Amino acid sequence: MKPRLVIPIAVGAAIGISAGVLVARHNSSPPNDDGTGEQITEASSAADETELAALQTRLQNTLVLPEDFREVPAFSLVGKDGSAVDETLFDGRWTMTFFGYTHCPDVCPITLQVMKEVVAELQSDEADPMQVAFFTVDPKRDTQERMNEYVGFFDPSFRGVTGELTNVLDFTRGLGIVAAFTANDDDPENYLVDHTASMLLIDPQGRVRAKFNPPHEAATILADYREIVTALN
Amino acid sequence: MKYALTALLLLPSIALAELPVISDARIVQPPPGTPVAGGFFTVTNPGDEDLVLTSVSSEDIAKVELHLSAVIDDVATMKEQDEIVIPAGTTLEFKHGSYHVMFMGLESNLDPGDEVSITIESSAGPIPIILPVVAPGEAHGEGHGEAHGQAHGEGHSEGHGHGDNSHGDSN
Repeated sequence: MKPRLVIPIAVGAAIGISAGVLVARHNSSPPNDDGTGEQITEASSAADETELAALQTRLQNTLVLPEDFREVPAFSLVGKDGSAVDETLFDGRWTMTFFGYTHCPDVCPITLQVMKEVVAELQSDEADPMQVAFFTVDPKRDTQERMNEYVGFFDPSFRGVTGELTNVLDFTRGLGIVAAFTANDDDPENYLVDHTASMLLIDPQGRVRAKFNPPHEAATILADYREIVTALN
Repeated sequence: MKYALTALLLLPSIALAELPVISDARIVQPPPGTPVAGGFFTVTNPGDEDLVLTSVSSEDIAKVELHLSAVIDDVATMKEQDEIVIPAGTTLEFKHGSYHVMFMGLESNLDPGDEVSITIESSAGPIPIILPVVAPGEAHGEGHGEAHGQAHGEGHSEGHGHGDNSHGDSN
């Protein structure tokens, strides 16, 4: 538990540095020349830190992130139904976002299955709905049709996203997502792709607010998601 | 290998009692059109010597390998294994995020009710296993991480080569 706290606190220090920006966003009154503006800034950022640290202690396997940690970059990709998908995908709802490829026999399908259970549970509770978006890191093999078949098998409401390789890589890189290809000399078609295992929870303003760590289990994800959405909504 | 075979010939009753035990064998149904699938089971080595799994083959699917998935520094990775060692007296669970049999180049869909036969070559000789295909979410322990694992091997003391069809009903 403790090591997880290190990162938000470290990022919290970064908030302090960019506090002027936060003040501009949160306080309608202009900063004073006599330095009181700065004091308000420090106080409010300390309050944010305290709030986040308190939320963090309630999470089981998730790292909560400050709101200016990272925004989804602008992007241009293709949905599993063939429609254009861009950063507005995230507007107005919480989205659990994760990355993988359809030639993955193990981690990717079980993650989709777990998310299906999570969403079903949220629906039965009439809790805040969650959008689920699976982005391939292997668009060469994962065509739009393939994504439709694969993601739709688990839940037709899940968003499956592919696109031009460079666009996919720009997007994943912009979110700090890793994708590494391992050539298979014996069987070039069956290369493997190593990829980030965490899921990112993106808020209705397109900001990355939490990193859900593996192993992904429905009960843990549900509990952490409810804590985060209740605290940050 | 040679020693194990010799032991089998000389002391058949003892050797038989120490054959590896397979349970909870299954393939989780992949989405239609997916050319890969993962096979899972639990293997218990009741013997006094390490059990070493060295390769896998299948009559039903041409390309099949022993793999290990792992998450290292938050990166999900997967590698073919030259050998998998199950120390004497221990049990190893092939499961999501860990050891699995990787099927590749599937030419037709696998549906619940289908069965796939594999043979694992090991230091105790070939181990035939039948893996029934189960729907995602219905497999024993799917999505429940470490929450299971206490009931392995029950009723399988007759030896190997036995896929367990009982999972998914009571778990």
